[in-house]
Amino acid sequence: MKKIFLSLFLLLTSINISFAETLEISITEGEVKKTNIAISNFYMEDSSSKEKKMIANINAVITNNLKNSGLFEAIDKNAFMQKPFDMRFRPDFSSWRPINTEILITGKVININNKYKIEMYIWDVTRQKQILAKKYMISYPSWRRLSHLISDDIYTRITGETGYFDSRILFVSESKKDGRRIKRIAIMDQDGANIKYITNGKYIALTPRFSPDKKKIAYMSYKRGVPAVFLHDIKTGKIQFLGKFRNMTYAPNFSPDGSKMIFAYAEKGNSNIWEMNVETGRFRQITKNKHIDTSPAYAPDGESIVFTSDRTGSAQIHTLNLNSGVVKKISPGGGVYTTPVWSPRGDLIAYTKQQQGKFYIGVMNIDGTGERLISNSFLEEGPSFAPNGRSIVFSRNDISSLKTKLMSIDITGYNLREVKTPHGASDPNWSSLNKR
Amino acid sequence: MKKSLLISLSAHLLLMLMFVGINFIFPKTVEVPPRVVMDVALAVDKGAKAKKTKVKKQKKKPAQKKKKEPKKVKKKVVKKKPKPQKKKQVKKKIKKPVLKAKQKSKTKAKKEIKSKKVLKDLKPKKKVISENDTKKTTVKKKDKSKKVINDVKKSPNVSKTNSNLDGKLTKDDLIELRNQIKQCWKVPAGIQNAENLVTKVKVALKPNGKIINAEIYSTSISTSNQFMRVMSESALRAILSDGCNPLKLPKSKYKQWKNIIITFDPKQMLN
Repeated sequence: MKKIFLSLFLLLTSINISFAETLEISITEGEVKKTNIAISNFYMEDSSSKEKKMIANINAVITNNLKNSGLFEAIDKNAFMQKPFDMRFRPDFSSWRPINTEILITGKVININNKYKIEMYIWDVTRQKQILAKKYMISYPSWRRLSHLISDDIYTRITGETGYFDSRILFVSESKKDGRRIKRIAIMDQDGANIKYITNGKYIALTPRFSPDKKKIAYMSYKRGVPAVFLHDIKTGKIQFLGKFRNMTYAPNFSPDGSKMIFAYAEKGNSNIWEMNVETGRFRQITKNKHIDTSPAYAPDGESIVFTSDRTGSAQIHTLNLNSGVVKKISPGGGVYTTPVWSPRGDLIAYTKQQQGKFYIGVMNIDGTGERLISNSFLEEGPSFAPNGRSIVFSRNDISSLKTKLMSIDITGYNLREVKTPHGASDPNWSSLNKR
Repeated sequence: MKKSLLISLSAHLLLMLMFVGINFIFPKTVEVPPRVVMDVALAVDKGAKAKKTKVKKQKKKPAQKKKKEPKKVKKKVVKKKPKPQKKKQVKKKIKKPVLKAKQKSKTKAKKEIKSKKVLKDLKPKKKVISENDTKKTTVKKKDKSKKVINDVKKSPNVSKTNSNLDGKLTKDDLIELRNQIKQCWKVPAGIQNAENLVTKVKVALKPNGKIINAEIYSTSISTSNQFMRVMSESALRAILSDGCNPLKLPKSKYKQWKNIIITFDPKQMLN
């Protein structure tokens, strides 16, 4: 018993003394730098040339995804001092520190009856420990999708954010044929791969928007002469026309649960916002005034919308609570604000701003504070958030080539880059994540 | 049995309270300069340009010390306290600092110059304290230091804690340390509510600045929150990165920095 008391006494006094001798400092600043990541090819025993190519392709897609996110710096493979075989059990961290590796990705591929079991490992080289191990099962043709899934898992583990690589972008492809401009609605993977055209370009189609399940798209088309919103089933090709409206309907957007669609209806020189129940086909008028209300978009909770209105004089951004009907102007003014969209994570609103002959892409808090203009050029517009709310895609008119292209940028304003498309591209809409 | 247990427990609690109490009552004991005063006094005994070798000799042959001591000091001490018993006390007082002086034989010329002044005013304790006091110390601290001087005589433990005095980190040392860590910390950009994600890392260091151990000491919210986990991992990576391991710190002040709690707070940066 005495020993217990004695040890307790010593412990407490030592804690007391150690506290007295501990220096405390605060670090309130750091560097905003990319994470140095080394992505090794996955190891496979007795792999065929086809399998070797698949492994190299997976590596290339993952590397490209992470580099494009703007948060990672991929280390040159020529600098690697260990080969996949050397790391089939565990990497030698001392071989990776000299080339400034912070995070190392390794993996194994095993062929099981013409299916592939893939194991992926994330190593924290600085702390010398494994921080994630994950298994996947795929058939050969799914290697690209798998690459996106692995990219998402790496991104999530390192940044804390949900990944966005396993998602798609809907846009208007702008090409020329026989001197005629053709605008077609197209879908591609977020990295520009796997382009598919939804419309044939016979009629102009604009502002395409995905339904949350990505089975349907809504867009405005001149198919019936007067511009109108159409609902297009991607799988069946069936097109639904909103027949109730004789005049122009435009700027459609789906609710987060996909049960409703919101759009603008122009009549007698003004424009109001309407909502349609996709399942029942019933309509509800949301705003009713003699101004121009347009570009509505839902908040991620579906309880509010954000839209553009000129009710205060010039086009400004407003929010409207769908339950209470309370409208609030949120944009700070000092320019023309259009095409607002609500971030999927609910904290920001992105928009196009026009001021003194220049166009800007900006973000601000949902109450209108903290405006940040993250990009500007001669002409750019139509931002759309990535599913994790970290990146924004928008269209920009290149003044030198007169070509419209898609650009993406991180919400911090870093990592502006072009999203490559075979032709000109505009009106992008980033989908939600694919289902796993 | 129960009674004895209770008595034992209460006695230990009392002891612990006393220990804790000492820290609360004299929270700045580490900064108090009495030991410096004594060190300085000895250093001056040997002359303002006292060297290591001389100090060693003093230690080996304490009896000779007095002879070698400058006359001024002797006279003052003797004049003040002519009785032999008191002389002994003075001897004791001086002996302790001799050892300390040995440790501190590397002290800089500045302190030695200060020590001259101190010797001149050795008689009144108040003056000695005030003259030796560092620029930052307040009048209150000086008052406390008087008490500590008395305690030093009684309690050898306190004098042990005071042995860190000379190794006090300066403002410049701390600024340099902050700058080192700042350059190693890659703050995860764009994280939601990042301003609320504060991490404290406890680091144990070797005298050469290399990290013996670094661990999360506390976080503002649970690390089950993925953003908090990422933020705290970034803090650990900063400390363990090649740029910050080893940390460049003055070896002579090791006792001051052998354990550090580093708070990583991105609020200011993000605002």
